[in-house]
Amino acid sequence: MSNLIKVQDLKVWFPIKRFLKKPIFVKAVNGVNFHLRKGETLSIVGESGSGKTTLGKTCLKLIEPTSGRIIYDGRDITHVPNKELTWYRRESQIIYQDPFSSLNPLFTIYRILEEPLIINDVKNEREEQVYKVLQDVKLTPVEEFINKYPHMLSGGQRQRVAIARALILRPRFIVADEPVSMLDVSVRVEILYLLKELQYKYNISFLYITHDIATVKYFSDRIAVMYAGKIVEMGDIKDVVTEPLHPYTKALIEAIPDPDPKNRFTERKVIPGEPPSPINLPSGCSFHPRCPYSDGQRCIKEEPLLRDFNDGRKVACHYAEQFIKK
Amino acid sequence: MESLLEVKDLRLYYRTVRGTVKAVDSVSFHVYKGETLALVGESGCGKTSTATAIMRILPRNVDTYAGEIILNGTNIMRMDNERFRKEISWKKISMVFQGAMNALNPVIKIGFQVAEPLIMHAKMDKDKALSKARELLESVGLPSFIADRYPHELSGGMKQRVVIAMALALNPSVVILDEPTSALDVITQANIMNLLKKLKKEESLSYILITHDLALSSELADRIAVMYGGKLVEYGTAEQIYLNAKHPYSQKLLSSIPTLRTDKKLEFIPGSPPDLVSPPSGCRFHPRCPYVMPICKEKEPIFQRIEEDRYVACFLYKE
Amino acid sequence: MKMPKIPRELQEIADAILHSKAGIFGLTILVIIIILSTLALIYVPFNIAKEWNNPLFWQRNPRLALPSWVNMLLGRKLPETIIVANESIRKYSYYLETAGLKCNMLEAKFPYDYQDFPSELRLVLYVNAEKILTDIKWIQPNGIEITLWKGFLQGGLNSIYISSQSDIYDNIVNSLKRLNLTSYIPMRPEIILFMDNNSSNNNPTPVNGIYTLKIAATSLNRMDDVDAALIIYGRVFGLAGTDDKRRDLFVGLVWGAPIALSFGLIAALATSFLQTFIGSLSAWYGGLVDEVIQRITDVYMILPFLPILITISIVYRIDIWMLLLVVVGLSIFGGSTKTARSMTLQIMTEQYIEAAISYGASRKRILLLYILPRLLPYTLANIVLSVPSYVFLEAALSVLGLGDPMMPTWGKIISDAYSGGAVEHGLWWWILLPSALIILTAISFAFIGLALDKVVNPRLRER
Repeated sequence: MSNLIKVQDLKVWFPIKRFLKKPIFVKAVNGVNFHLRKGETLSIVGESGSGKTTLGKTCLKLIEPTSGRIIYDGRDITHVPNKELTWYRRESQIIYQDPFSSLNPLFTIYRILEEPLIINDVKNEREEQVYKVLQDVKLTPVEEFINKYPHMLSGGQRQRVAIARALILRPRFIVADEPVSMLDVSVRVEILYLLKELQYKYNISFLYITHDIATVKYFSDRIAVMYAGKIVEMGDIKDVVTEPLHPYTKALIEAIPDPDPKNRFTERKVIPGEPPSPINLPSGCSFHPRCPYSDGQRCIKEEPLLRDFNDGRKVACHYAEQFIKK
Repeated sequence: MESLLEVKDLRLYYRTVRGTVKAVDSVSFHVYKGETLALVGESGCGKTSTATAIMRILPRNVDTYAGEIILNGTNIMRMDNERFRKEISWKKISMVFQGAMNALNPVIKIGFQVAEPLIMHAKMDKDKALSKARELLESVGLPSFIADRYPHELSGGMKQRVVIAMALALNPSVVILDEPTSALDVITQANIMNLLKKLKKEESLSYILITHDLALSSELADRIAVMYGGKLVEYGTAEQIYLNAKHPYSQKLLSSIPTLRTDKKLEFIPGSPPDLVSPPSGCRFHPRCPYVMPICKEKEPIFQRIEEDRYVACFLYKE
Repeated sequence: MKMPKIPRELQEIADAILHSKAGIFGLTILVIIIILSTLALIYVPFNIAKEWNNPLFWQRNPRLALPSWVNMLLGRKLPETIIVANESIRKYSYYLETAGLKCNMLEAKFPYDYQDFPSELRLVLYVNAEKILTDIKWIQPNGIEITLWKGFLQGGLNSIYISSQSDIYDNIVNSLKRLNLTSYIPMRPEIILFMDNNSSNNNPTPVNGIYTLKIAATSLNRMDDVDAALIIYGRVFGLAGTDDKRRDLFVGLVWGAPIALSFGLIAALATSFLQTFIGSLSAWYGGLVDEVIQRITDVYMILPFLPILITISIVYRIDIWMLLLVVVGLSIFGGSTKTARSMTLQIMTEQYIEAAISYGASRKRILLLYILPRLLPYTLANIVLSVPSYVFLEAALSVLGLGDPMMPTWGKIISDAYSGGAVEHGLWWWILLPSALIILTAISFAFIGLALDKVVNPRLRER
């Protein structure tokens, strides 16, 4: 079986208790299906509030799922309690967005990297492993970094340490939650290439979560576009990017600026408004209030299902066919 | 072109335990009326410090604050603090700070916050200020009932519009925008940029846009100044920079931008930005420059004019 | 398990103290007080301090004497205590075989060069016989001779309180009458015996010169012997004077220092660490634990601290270490519990905490290694700022008479001063010196706390 992770109809709803009234729910993840193969990167792309971060953390069991199934390497871990998941904590890791607060400010870099080894009772060769992982992320000469504290490093260097920490237990699955969003543009691709290199080297499966669809090309095999807690389009990266079939995907791609000096003379074509609140989702297709192609009837009443197209493509739109390039 | 704001040889150094940080080290540029200047560079290169230096928002441990800032013919650096505060700050030049949308007062309604500069600086009475605040909110694309909401009820994009409204309250001629869209999603970002374009046209505003994102700055910039290690390394029109960047750093910046539209392999810049307390000798970029020559390690290149309104600080070019 | 290095935040504290004038000032005073404490242990060893409550130990000191350095400030010199004994006394004896009488003659000569009178006179006679007949005469340098006492003394140690015994006073008056010096009569014995008859009664001055005390002791046995010591109690003594029980206040003050400091420090350390730990625990484990701890804290904070303490002190006679225990017990939950809880709640939102869970760290480990060390600067500043409160608390309880009755603490000295009438009689050194030390201690900690304010209050920091 080449699937490392299979997620079926995953829902993560957060209740908001109200006094003397029925609780309402924040439907962060509202029915998500996908699979992730070994050694593959799947990008989850969406705006804030789309549920992508919640999805990533739920896959790591840092958040408890409300319903659905998470199957890791054939084992159903959906409802396994945290106490029994120590083995899973070795195999799965997370890289956070904020390089400032994801590293312990009290520890030296050496100590930060050693900590997962200590906790997981690795007794031998800790120093060698720390050195190796620092070399993997290209923070060399290693001696220059091991005794420093996080605040002494730049954002890019800190993120490399975060990656090193995620690597040190030799995980098979890493969730990278917006790993480069807080770094300068000039540094982003460097880090993404690094992740790609490490993926080949160690055969790690990645879930790459981001709102910046421009970067997915550099570090993805497949992409899933999320909107309001659901996947609206999924497929191979090249196909989706060159021929997006969902209006939202199209909108995302069109919104990205490219370094063209003519941009300043025209307004960029972009859909208006904001993503809907996960508490109060629109009827029918959640995207219809902002969709330039909404038909005003079916889109408002009927929720589109995720349908299969060629080459493993799935789209959740009633009118996806019209976007297929002949 | 009419020069609205001229910055000449601006320097801002401040003291820290480790030594003197030369955050802004002799920076000069023009901002022309109705035009946008983008000040571009990596984090820590001094672009935010340049902006706060112009607005005279100085840290407590200032060592040197010198140079000339000429607005409409007057050197506003020479003004005393009182006069600067009364005449310039927020009236002629205003600023949208980095992360300003998170700095809105959570316990005061939006309307009052937008009205505040009107009450304090323009000495309007409360009711008039509040109704002007509603007008301002509409001019940035928000419905006027937003004035009665609290910040936590608004999304990121809406809060950023509020902050822009506050900056425009007193009809300044120059608005400094420091990373105005850094925390926003791509679609919201595009909407904000469209708003800024619209306002620029309607109100004849001049912007100084500060960002590390060269792609984003193409949405507004008429001219671009590239900063590195506290100094300017290149200055020119948008066409000149995007299509024919001269300084190796500018070229590397351009080639490191992720893009969906082409399939070009990206390059990135090895190494990290310089330490502003003890920068590298000679040209500050030399440790990371692919074209480094012996002279680059010894002497600092002059920011010299190579064409009309086109400047570069690099030994590869002669005047 | 290797401890994480926390030099950066401790370094910040050290920097904050050493880089500000306030901090250096406070630290200097504190160092001086600590030096005083060490002096206590070396210079005034514990076996002396132990005798604080033993009146016999202090017999040779004058009562209510001023500190000696007062002499430098006043014009005239106040007398110090003179003890005339042993080598200063000429002894000779003879035995009359025919009468069967042993005569012991003691002649004590001493110079007196002060401009003021002694506070008290006492003659101690060691009688090595069953019974002796004694004749004691006092001779001024100008030749005036006064009979002090004639009579029988038993064997053993005999103290003759020249200043206070009425029979001695009557003898002196009789002698004066015979000499026709009756104008002296209303004066106290220690003044009369030293007074210059040429000076007026309103402003008497002593005669300077060599004084003689002649003691003739007659007894029946050849082997009988007498020894004497004349104690002329001065007006000044030592570096801090004495109290009404003749105790050298310097001993009390010096020993008060380590007691005050240790009480203050231990109380501050215990309460600060306990409150911070519990507050942090409360936030980290949340849920029921949080609720319970917060409600207990609320109750604790409502309780009136001082009245409860006073009640306990009245009902049970407690010593100082018991007092310490009660104080700490009443302060396990307090304001810092709530602050530490808020600080922990904020730290908990930081991503490195969640990251630790993702690589398998136990909740206990995260609390001890990741969260508590972040609270250390706050705890330390709290300790420093609360030490003076506890020093004051102990002093206040002692002044109220509720502290440890045995230990020579600063508060106890002040308490004794009040009950000993220091205020009414203007015995300023008895009150002012211990008070000054308490205030100085408090000031030193307050200044150090001022310097630490920058560390504790992040908004004051310059990034």
